Amino acid sequence: MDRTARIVRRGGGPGDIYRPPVNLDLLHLPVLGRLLRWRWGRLVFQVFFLAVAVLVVYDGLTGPQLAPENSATVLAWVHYRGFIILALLLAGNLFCFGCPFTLPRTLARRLSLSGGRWPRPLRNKWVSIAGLFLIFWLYEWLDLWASPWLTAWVAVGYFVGSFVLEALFAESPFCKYVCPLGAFNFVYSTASPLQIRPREAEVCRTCVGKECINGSATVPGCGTELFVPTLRSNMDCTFCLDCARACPYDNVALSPRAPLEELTHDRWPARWDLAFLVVALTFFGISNAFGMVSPVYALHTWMAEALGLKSDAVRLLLIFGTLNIAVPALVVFGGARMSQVASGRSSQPPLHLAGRYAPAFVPMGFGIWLAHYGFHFSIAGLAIVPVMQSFLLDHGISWLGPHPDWGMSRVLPQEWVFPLQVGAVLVGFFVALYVLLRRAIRPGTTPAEGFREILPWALVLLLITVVSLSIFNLPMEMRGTFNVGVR
Amino acid sequence: MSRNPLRTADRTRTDRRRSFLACFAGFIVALTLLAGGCTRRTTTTDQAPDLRLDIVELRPDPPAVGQATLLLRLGDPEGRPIEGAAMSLRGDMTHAGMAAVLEDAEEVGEGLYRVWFEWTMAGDWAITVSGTLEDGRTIRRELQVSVPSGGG
Repeated sequence: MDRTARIVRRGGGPGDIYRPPVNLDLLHLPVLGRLLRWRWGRLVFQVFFLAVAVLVVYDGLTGPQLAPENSATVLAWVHYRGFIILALLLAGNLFCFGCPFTLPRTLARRLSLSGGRWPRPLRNKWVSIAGLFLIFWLYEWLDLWASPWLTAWVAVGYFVGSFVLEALFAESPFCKYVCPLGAFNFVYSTASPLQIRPREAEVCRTCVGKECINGSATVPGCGTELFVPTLRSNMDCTFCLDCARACPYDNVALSPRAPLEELTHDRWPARWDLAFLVVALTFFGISNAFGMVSPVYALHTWMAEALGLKSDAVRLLLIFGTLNIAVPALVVFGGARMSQVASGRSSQPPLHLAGRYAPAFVPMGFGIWLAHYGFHFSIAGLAIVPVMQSFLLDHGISWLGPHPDWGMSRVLPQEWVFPLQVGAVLVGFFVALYVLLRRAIRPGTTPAEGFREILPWALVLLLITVVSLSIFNLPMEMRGTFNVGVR
Repeated sequence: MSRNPLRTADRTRTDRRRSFLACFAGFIVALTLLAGGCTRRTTTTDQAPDLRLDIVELRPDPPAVGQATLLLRLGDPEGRPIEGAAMSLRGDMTHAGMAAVLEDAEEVGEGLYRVWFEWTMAGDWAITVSGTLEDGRTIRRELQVSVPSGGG
C-alpha cells in the first residue's frame, strides 16, 4: 500500500506523515530492520539453519561416530543448546525464527490433503509436554549425545513430523502444539527482552483486514494464530515476523520491553497445561543434569538390585516419570492447594493460584538450563573448529588448515565455569522470588495474605536451588555409552 | 465442452496425494541410501594396519580420575620393535561437550612409548593413539576405557 492510501486510511491530511510511537523498533533499524521486514528475510536465516541441519544429517549418517569428532553431535548438543539459551536471554525466540524444520512445510502446505483443523482436545500444551518427556527419555536411554547417527535421525524426525502435520492439517499445529523445542523456546521467551507489539493501537482498531492474522495477498498471517493488537506475551510467538510483513500499515514493531515485564504482570492465562509445562521444564533441567553425575549410577544399581529392574529403559522411565511428571504434578497441584489453604481464602480456585505463581518457575528453570548448557558451551564451544577442519579435510578441502587442532575447545577458563553456574542458579532463584512477590501484591490482598500464599512456592524454589547447586557441585560422569546408540 | 468441476477437484486432490506420497517416499529412500550406503573416508585412516600397537601397561589399574600413564609397544607384524615414531594420545569423552586431553608420547626404547596424561573426569573415554612412522605412514588405534568415579 502506498503512503497516500495509508494516510487516507488513518484519516490524516496530505502532510500527515506516519510517526511510530515505539521508542526502539528493531524492524526499523537501518540494515537489520530492512532485512527482517523483507519478504524473504526470514528465509535467509532459515536457509542458513537448513544448511546446518543438512550438515548434521549428512555428517551424522556418514561421518566418524565418535561424538566429539562429528559436527552432528557437537552442533546439536553443544552449540544449538548454548545458542538458544543465550539468544533467549539476550534477544528472544531466535531459533524458532530461523527454524529450518518449517521449510519443508511450505511444500507440504502446497500438497495439503485434507485441510482439517488440529483436534480441539489437543489444542493445548499436553502433546508438547509428552514430546519433551519422550525426547529427554530417548536422550538418556539411547545416549543421543554420544551418537552422531541417532542425532541425525532426530533431525530427520523433526523434518518428517513438521512436514506430515502441515500436510494433514490446515493450520500450523506443529509449532504451537507439538514441537518440544518450540515449547522450550516459548516458555523461556517469556523472560526475553524483545516482543512483537503494535506501534499504534489506534491503527489496529480501525484496521479492517486484520492482515497480521488473516494474511495478505502475498504474505501469510500468523501461523500460530496470534493477533498483534491483543498480544501481551511471547508465548506461542515464533518471531517469524509474518505479521509485520503482512500488515499494510507497517504498524507491527519488534521492540524491547522492561525486564521481567511479562512475568510480573498479570497476563498469564490460568491453564493447568501451561502451569505444568513451566514447572515441569524446571524439573527436566534438574533431571537432565542429574543424568550426568555419579549418584544416578548408584540409583540405577539400587533399582536393578532392589526392584529387579534389569532394563535400562524401564529404570529411566521410572526415574524420569517420577522427576519430570509426578514431582512437577505434585508441585503444581499441591502448591496451588497449599497456597489456597495458607492464604485462608478458599474462594480462590487452585487453577488461578497455579496460573498466578507458575511464571516464577521461568527464571528458576532458565537459571538451571543456563548453568547446564552454558557449562558445555564454555568447555567445548570452540570444538566446532577442529570438527569442521576434520570434516573439510575428509572432503579434500584444507581451507581451515592442514590438520585439525583438537586442542581448541574452551571458550572460558575452566575455573570460571562453576562460579558462573552458581551465579546462574542463584540469580534464577532470586528473580523467581521477586516474581512471586510481584505477583502476590495485588489489589484486594493484604501483604500477609500474599506472603502466606507464596510461601509453599518459595519453599519449593529454595529446595530446587539447593538440589541444583548440589548437582552442579558434583563432578561430571558419563558412563554406559559404549556400544549403545552407535552404529 | 465444459469440464466437470467436481471431477477436476477430485483429480487435483488425487494428484496432490500422489505428489505428497512421491515426495515422502523419495525423502525416505534418499535417507535410507545415505544412512545405509555411505561411510565417508577420513583423513585419519590408519595407513599401517599390519603393524602391532599393544598396550603394555595402563596405570592406575583400574583407571581412576587423576594422573595416569600408558605404556605402548609398537612392532611390525613379526613383533620386532619399531623405533623413531612420533606417537601421541588424544582422550575424548564419548559425548560432545568436554575438552579433549592431548599428550605426546615419550620414546623409551625397544619400541616402547610412554604417555603421561590425566583422566580429567569419570566416565566413558575414547582413547585415540596415533603417530607417524619414520617412513611417513600414519598409524591410528582406538580403545575405550571406562573410568569409574571414586564411589564406583
